[in-house]
Amino acid sequence: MNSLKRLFISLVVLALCNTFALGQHNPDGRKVSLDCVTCHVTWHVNIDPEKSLLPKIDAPIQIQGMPARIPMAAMCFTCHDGTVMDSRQIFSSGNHQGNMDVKHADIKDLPLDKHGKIYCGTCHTPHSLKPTRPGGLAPFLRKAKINSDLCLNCHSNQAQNHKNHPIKVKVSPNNTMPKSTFWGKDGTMECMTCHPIHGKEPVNGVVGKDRSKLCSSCHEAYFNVKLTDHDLASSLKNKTGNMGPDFRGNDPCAACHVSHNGKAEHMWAMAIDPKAGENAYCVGCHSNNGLGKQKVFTHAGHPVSNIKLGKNIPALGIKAGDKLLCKSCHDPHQWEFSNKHAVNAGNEEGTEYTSFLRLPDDAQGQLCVTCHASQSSMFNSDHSVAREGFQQLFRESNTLHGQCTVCHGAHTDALAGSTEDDPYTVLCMRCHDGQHFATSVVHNNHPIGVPFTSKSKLRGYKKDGQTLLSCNTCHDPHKWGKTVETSRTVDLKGDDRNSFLTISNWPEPKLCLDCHPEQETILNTDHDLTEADRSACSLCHAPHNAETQYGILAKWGDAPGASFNEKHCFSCHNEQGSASAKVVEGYSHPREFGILTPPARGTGVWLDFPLFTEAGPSMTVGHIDCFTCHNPHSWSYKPEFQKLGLGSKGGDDGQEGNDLTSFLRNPSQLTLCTDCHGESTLWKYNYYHDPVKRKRY
Amino acid sequence: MRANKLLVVFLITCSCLVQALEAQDISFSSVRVIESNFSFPSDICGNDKGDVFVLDGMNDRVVQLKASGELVVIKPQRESIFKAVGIAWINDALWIADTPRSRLLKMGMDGRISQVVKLDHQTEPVDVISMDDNMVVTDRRNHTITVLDNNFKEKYYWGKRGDKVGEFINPGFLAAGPENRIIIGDILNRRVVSFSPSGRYPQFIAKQGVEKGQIFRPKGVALDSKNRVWVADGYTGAIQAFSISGKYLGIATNDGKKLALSAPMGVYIDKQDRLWVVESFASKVSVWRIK
Repeated sequence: MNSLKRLFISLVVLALCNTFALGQHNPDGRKVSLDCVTCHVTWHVNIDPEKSLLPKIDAPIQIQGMPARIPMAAMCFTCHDGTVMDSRQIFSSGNHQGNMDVKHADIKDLPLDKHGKIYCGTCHTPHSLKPTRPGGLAPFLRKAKINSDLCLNCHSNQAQNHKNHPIKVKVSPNNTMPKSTFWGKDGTMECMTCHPIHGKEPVNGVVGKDRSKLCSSCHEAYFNVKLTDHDLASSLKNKTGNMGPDFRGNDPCAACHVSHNGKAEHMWAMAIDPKAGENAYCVGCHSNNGLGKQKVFTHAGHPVSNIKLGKNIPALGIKAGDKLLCKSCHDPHQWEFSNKHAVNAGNEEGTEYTSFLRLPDDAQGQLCVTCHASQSSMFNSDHSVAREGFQQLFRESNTLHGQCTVCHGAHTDALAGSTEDDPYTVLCMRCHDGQHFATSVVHNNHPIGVPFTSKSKLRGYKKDGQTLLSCNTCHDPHKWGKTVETSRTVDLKGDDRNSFLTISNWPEPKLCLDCHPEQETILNTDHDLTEADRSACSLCHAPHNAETQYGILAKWGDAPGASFNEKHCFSCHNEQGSASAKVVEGYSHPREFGILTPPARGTGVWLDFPLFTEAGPSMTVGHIDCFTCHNPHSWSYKPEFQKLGLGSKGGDDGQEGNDLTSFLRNPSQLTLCTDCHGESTLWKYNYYHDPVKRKRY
Repeated sequence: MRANKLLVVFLITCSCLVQALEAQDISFSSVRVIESNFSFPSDICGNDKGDVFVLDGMNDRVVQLKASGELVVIKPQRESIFKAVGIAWINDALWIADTPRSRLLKMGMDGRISQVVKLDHQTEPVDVISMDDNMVVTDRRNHTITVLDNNFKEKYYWGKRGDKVGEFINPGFLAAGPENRIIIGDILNRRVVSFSPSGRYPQFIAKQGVEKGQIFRPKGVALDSKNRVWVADGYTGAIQAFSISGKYLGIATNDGKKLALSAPMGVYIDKQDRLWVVESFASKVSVWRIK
C-alpha cells in the first residue's frame, strides 16, 4: 500500500515537473528569477543548443556554447512591440537604431557591438536602477539624458560653447516647439530638445536642410530675416559660397549659422579673422571680396573701434561698458524697424527706416539720440528735416534722409558726401546757398578758411596743421539756443541769443569776443548799443549778408556820406538816428590827392592811420575816412580811460569827449596830418568837424 | 523504493518519447506575402466573407485584404486610433483595442467610429474577442482579463501580475477555443493558458522554453478547423501547434526547415485553413497553407 502511495505521489510530481518549468539558473549556478530569463534566454536549465529554436545571431559573447543574447533590436522588439511596451515609434524612426556609423562620435565608456557599431544596449540597459528609484534613469539608460550627459558621452565635440548651439539654457515659455519636445530640468534646452533621438528625423521637425521650422520655434524674431538680403538662401539662391555655407536650401539660418561646430562664435558658418573682433562677423561679408561687397564697410563714418558705451541703452540692447559694434545699431535679422516682415532680397537700397537698423533715423533721430541725446534739441528747430527747406532739397534730389543722416554719413565721410577741405561749409551751403528755403549766406560773410585764435578753443577744420575758421566755429547746427525750450522754432529769424551759435552772443558778445578780445573796450561806451536781442557788436556788424565784406558792416540803408564808412557812421549820427546828439556836420578830407599809408611810408602799421578807397581799406594809398581817426571800439586810446565806467560815457550822458577820448584812434601828434599841413595842422585838426570854422580858413 | 525510482525514470522517459513521437513537423507552403507600406502592424482578423483586416499599428490605419484579393486602406476618423495593438471581427463589425487610450472602438468600413467603449482601471487593452454575448479584453497595464457584458459594462475581471496559476505578466493575444475556452498568450510568463469564461479552470496549453513544444514569447493564437491551437513565438519566430488540452502537435515548417518569421504577432486562420501571420518587425503579412 505504501509503495503504491509513493508511486502515485511520484507520478504526480512527474506530471507537475513536466507541466511547469523546473527553474532557471545563471552560468554560475545561481537561481535567477523569471524576469532575468525574459532576456537571458540561455539560462533555461534544460536548454539544448542542438534542439534550440533560437534564431542564429552573430553575437560577440558565447554563453554555454551559444551566442549570448545581447539586447539586439529584434530581441527588444519582442516585448516593445506594443504588447508589453510600445516602442514601435522608436523602431520606426531608424534613428539611433544600430548600424550607425559612429566615426564622427567620440564614444568613451558605452558598449558597442563587436562591429564597433551602436545597438540598443549602447545606451540602454535593463540593469540600471529602476527609473522610479533615486538615481534611476528612464528609460533604463546608462547615463542621464535630462542633462544631456548621455549624448555628450559621444558627442562632446558638439557642445563646445558658442561654436555650437548652447544647451542647459532656459527657453522662452512662448516657444512653439511640439508638445512632445524633451526639456531638461526646469525647462532647459538639452540635446534631445532638438534631437529626438529616436525620431523619424535626426532633428526635430527638420526635413532635408531646411531648419526653418525648428529654429523659428524659439527664435521667431530672427526669422524676420526671411526674404531680406541677409537671407542668403533667397538673395544668393542657387549659389554656393566659397566661405563654406550652402545657399541652395531654403533655410535662411543656415547660410550664417550652423548648429554645431561653427567656425567661429555665434555658431558662425563662415571662417572669419578671429583677431578682427566682433565686427568681423559683419565685415567678413561686407568687404571688397565678400558676399556683401555691394555694401563694403570702410572705416570712414561713425567710428566703431574701441568705443565703450557709458550707459545702458535698452532700446539697442546695450549695457554700460559694452563696446560699440556694428550690431549696436544694426539688427541683421530685420530689414525694417517698423515692419518685421519687410523684405528686400533684391538688393534694394536701404533708407533710414530700413537698412537693418534697430531704430529708425526718423525726424526724431531715434537711433542716434539713444547715444547722442544732447543733440536732440535740434529736432524741433529749423534744422529739422521736417522743415520745408529739407523737404525741398529731398524733392529736388529725389532722396529721403533721416534727421541725422541728412548731414552725417554713418558709413561714409564724417559729413555726408563731402570731400572738400572744409566739409562743414560745403555741407551748410547745400541748403544756405540762396537757392533753397534756408537763409541765404552767400554775400559778405564773416571770413572763413582763415586761421584764428580762440579763447574757448572753438572748432574749425584742420588743414596743414592749422585750425581754420569754418561755419562750425560759430555755429552748432544741433542747438538753436541755449536750452531745448528756445530751440522750438519754426522758421524764426535768429538773433544773438540763438541762431545755432556755439556760444551765446547776448547780452555780452561772448562769441565775437572769443576771437576778438581786443574789441571788448566797446562795452559800456556810447557805442555799446546792446539791445534786447542784439549784442554790442551786432548793430554795426553782420556776420552774414553784410553791406560790405570789409568789416562785415551791417546795412546802413540810405544814410548820407561819401564812403561806406561815412554812411555806416552816419546811419546813427544823423538827426533822426540813435546818435542824433552827435551829428557830424563837418567832415570829409579833400579826395583830390591820395595819401600814403604808414606802411607805405615805412613809419608804422596800417592801423596807426588807416586809409580807405571806395573799395575798402587800402594798404598803400587812400583817403581819410571816419575810421582813419576814430576807433569805434575804444573810447580812448589811453588805456586808463578805456576801463569801464571811467569816462567812457560820452555824448548825451553829459560826458563830452576831448582829445584824449572821443573814440580817437591816436593822439593827434601821431597822425600823419603834419606831413602835409605843417604848423597849421593843430588848428585845422581842432576845427575838422566844425563846418563854420573850417569855412573861415 | 528503488523499484519505484526506476519506475519514475522509466515513466518520464516514456512520456517524453510519446510526446516526441506524436509531434511531427507540419509542412506549410507559402501562399503570398503582403507588403502594403505597413509600419509595424500588430494584429489581424477576418470575417465570414473571407475579408481579412490588418491593424497597421504605426500608420494608425486598417488595411482590408478582400477575398477578391483587392487591398483597401481604411483610414479611421482623424486621430481616432493611436498606436493600437489588437483588432477583432465581432458581430459583423471591426473592433479595435485602442491601447494607450484605454478604449475599444467599433469602426465601420468607411473608417467612422460608431462606438467608443471607455474601459475602467486605466486598462490598456491589447486584444479583444467575443465570448457568448460578452467581450473579453486583455490588459497589459493591470495584467488582468476583463469581461464586458453586452452593454459594454465591466462584468468582472480576474488575474494580477505574477507567475502563479491564474496570474499573468502581460497577457496579450486572445483566441476563442471550443467549449467557450478563452485562450490567452501570457507573454512574459512565457506560456499559453486557457480559462473558462468565468476565469476558472486554467489549462496550460504551452509552456516556457526555446525548444520544440515550448514557447518563449507567445503572441498570436488561433484555432484551425481541427481545433489545433496555433501559437506564434515572437522571439524564436516559430509557429507551433498544440491541442486544447496542451498536447504538443508539431511545428510549422517550410521546405523542411522550421518557419522563422520576423517577430510574428497576430495570427489568423481563415475558413480554408490558411494561416495569416503578421510579421511585425518586417512590416509584412505572410500567408501560409497547411499541406
